[in-house]
Order: sequence, then structure tokens, then C-alpha cells
Amino acid sequence: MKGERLKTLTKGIILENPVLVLVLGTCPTLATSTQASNAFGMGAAATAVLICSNVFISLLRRAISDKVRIPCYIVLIATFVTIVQMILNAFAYPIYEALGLYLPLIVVNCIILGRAEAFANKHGVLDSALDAIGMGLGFTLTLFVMASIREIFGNGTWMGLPIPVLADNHISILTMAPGGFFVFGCLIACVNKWFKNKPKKKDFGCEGCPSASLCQAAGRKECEAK
Amino acid sequence: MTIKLFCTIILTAMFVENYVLQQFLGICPFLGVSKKLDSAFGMSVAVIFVMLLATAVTYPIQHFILEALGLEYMQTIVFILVIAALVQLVEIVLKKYVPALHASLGVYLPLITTNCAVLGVCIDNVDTYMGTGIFGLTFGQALTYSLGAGLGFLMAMVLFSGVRSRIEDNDAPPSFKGMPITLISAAILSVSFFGFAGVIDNIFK
Amino acid sequence: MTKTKNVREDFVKPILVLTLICLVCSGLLAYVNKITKPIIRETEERIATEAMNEVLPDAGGFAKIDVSFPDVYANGDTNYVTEAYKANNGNGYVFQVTGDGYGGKKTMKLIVGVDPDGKIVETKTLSHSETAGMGSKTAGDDYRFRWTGVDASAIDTVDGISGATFSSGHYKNSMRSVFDAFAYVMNGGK
Repeated sequence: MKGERLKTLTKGIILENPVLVLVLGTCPTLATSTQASNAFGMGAAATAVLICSNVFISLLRRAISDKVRIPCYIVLIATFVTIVQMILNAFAYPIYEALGLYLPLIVVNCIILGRAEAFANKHGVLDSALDAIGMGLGFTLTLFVMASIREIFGNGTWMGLPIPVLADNHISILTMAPGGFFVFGCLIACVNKWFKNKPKKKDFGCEGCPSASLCQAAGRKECEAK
Repeated sequence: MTIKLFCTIILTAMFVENYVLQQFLGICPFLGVSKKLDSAFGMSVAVIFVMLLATAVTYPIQHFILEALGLEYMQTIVFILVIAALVQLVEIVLKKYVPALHASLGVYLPLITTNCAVLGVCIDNVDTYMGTGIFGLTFGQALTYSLGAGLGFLMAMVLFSGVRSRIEDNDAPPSFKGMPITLISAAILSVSFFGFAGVIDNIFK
Repeated sequence: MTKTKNVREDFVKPILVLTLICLVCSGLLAYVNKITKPIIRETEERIATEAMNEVLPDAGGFAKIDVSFPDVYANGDTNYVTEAYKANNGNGYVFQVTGDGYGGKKTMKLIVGVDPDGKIVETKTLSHSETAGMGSKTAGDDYRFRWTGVDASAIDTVDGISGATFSSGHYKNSMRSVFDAFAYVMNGGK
């Protein structure tokens, strides 16, 4: 039992890493990974929301009937996002400024709704909290690594500190939009290479999509097309 | 609104501030539904439709309800609920009255609730410093901006589905097969959009 | 009997639960908002003052000047002086200006301190969307300090950044509007 709990906690970091393996939450990953400090802020904010939403959805899973499940989840998630937004605005203004539009957009971050659907509404509070912590850690870690790569090589700094040789020879394009796609692609390729024996991931765009339960029709059509 | 301003807003939203390739909004459908041209097109049309509708509803809500009552902090929660409700409503109406359209677009509609481009465009439109940088977009300008953003999404999807249909048969290194090579081609597509910075402003000077 | 039960299960309960969740969430948000609002206002004020202190040190506080400036059209750009402040001890003025940039219209937001003689004390970029590594250099110390000590007659002596001609040009246009605004204030709003 204890081992299982540990697995629930750690699976999000590599084996079921939400960003690199499940390919969820790509928008914030690409957009906020230009600076390591921003990435850390985004990761922390999303993790906080994820933990709150997972815990509350798990608590309320018997009260919420199937029909109104999605609206209930959305209201809960949006509430936590707004609270995080207000807290950051009050106590961490630079991060609030840097994340800008992407902060309210945590609401539509697929990881959060995806975990609610795939885990929290089937498991107990403790397990859901552990799952949220694991997934949040995986998300934050990936964002941080990716942002570090982009900031070090693209801007010649790390966490705002200049790096000797690179500061004068940085590759600016890495901090811009194309660099985001490129570094993300390379990171996924690395994970594919080094963790070959990972469990077969679900195909992206169908069952892998957190909205799959919302739109079986779309899932079927897409899957047939393949 | 003059034709000049109309063109500037549309082209800025489409090219310079392309939601997918420059601002990273709506990446999930961009990667997920771009394998086939017809599904890419269907998804984009549904997105344009919902974007326009959502802006038409959220803009008055922000200005006449939230700001009037000092409830700006409810923005996120109200907007996402409006979008979710709208999507459901559109689906029901289409199913009942325009079954042909529902057959082609219906399957993509529920996916749009979690499409950050739609929520993004709604927030952009009421936020003063975002988007085209025009202070306080008027209702007409906001709708124009949504249309431009939607068209930009359509363009990115259609372009990318063309790119992807070619990548499918290519012999990529094993680790790069699937998602990684897709992302790297997206990077190259995104580079081409750099060329538009500064161009639009100077065309309509 | 089963029918009423079904109605209850299918309609009443979901509606009740959803309404309850909405109510509780709204209450929670209102509460958090009540706590954080004063702190947010304080932080925003502090940050605004910090920026002003940076471009015009030793001002002993600032008072907002209540004039609305005409839009300045310079070389095809439209610039808006959005806010102006007077140093309480008469050491100068601070102007906030939003102008066009290479990255789009009204994207370059600058704050500029001007001494009573009309010389720039310091400038600072608050936000911009210039190309990273090129136009973004206008926000760097190397460029902004080129403006220190410059007055209205010396605008064209300030060198632009090579490789970022457009961004430097837009920046210069914003400075023009600052000098216009300064003259406007000195003239008593004319």
C-alpha cells in the first residue's frame, strides 16, 4: 500500500510526466518557459491550483452527479485560479506581471481538468493530493528545465544572473516563439530515447486528450481517420 | 471604424500576433487536430464561430456588469462559464436546426471549451494593454480582433496540416518520430511569421 | 414514486449541488478579494513610485498633474503622454508615455524624468514588444543612459542603436512627445 502511494506520487515526474509523456498543458509550457524564474512561478501557481482542485473534487466526488460534473469542475478550478491570481498580484507582483495572460489561462490548462477527470473523481482525498503533488512537480520540473535551457542559451543568463561566455554569444531565437517549439520537441525526443521502456502512452488527440470524455464523437472520428 | 483600422486589426491579429505560432495559445488543437486537412479546417471554423460569439457576449458582460459592480476579480470564472455554456448552447441549436452543419462541426465544439485561444481572445479584448495595443477596444474593434485571431488560427491549422501530411511519410530518427518532429516543424513554421513584425504597421501608415 | 425519485436524482440534486458550489466559490472569492485588494493597491502604488524615483531621484514625493495632453504625432507615430507628475520639492517632472514601436502600435511604454531646465534626467522602458536581441536593446542601460542630460534641442544628437534603427526611431519619437508635454506643462497647459 505504501509502495503504491509512493508510486502515485512519483509517476508524474517521469513515467507519466504530464508535459513530456502525456503532452498536456503545452500552451503554458511553451509560453512561460523563456525565463527560469517565470517557469518556476508558473509551475508553482499551476501546482497550487492542481492540488486544491484535486483535493476538493475528490472530496465532493460523491455529491457531484455525472451530468453537471464538468461545470462543477470548471467553477472549482476557476475559483482556485482566481485566488492564486489575487495572491500573486498582492505578494509577488513581478511574477504576476511576467505571467500576464497565462495566469488566468491556467483554468483551461488541460493537466488540471485532465487529472480531475482521470484521477480525482475516482480516488480518495489522500491519493488525489499525492497525484496532484506528483503531477505538479513533474510540470514544474519540466518547465524549469526547459526554461533553463532557453534562458541560458537564448539570453545568456540563468535566473537573471549573467553567464560569462554565453552572455555575449546568445542565440536570441531560442527565447522567441520558434525556440519554444524547438526545445520542447528536442526534450520530448530525449525522453523518448532515454525512457524507451516507459508504458505505451495513449495516442495524442484522442483518449490522451482530457476532453475525450466530453467528446467521444470527436475522439472516434479522429481515431478512425488514423 | 475605417477600412484602414479594420485591415490593421485583422492583419495584426492574423500575422503579427498569431495566436498559435507567436503567442502559444490553442496549441492542443493545433497539434492534435491538424493531421488531416478537413478536420483542421472544421475545427478552425468552429473556433472562429465560438470566438466571435464569446467576444460578443463577454465584452458587454465585462463592461456593463463586472466593471459597473466592481467585480473585476470574477472575470476568469465568469468568462470560462460563459464560454462553456455557449459551446453547449451552440451545439444544441446546431443539432436541432442545422443538422448538416452539426454533422461537420459538431464533433469539434466540445473540444473548444478547453481551448485557451478562445478564453485568451476574450480576456485580450477587454484588457487595455493587450492585443493591438489600442487603449480600450470598442465593441466593433473587439469583434474585429476576434475575427482576425480566428482567421490566424485557421491559417496556422491549414498550413500546418499541409506540413504534417508530408512529415508523416518521412523517415525521422526513431526518437524524433511523432510529437518531436511535429514540434520542430512547428518551430520552422513559426519562424516564417517573424517576417510580419513591423510590416503591417508600415503598410497602413 | 420512482418517477419522483428520478426527477429528484436527475434534476433537483445536480442543480442544487451546482448552485451551492457556485455560491460557496463566489463567497470565497469575495472574501479573498477583500483581503488582497488593499495590498494589491499598495503594491501597485509602491511600484509606480519606485519607477518614478528611479528616473527622477531626490524628488521628495510626487504629485499628479491634472492636465490631459494632446496626442503628439511625430514622424508617423502617435504618442500618448498618459500621466505626468511634479516633484514635490520642485526638482522636476516625470512623464509616462505610450508610443508606437516596431512590434506594434502603442506597445512602447516609457517613463521619463525631466529636470526643471528641460533636460532628461533618466528614462526607463516599462514595457515593449520589440524584437528580442535587437530592438529590445532600447530598454538596456547602454541606450537609455544616452538620453541623460539631453534637452529638446539636442534630440537628434542621440545616436540610435545600429541594427535597431526602427526601434530607436520610435523611442526618439516618444522623447519628442515628452519634450512637447514638458513645454505644455511649463506653459500652464497650453
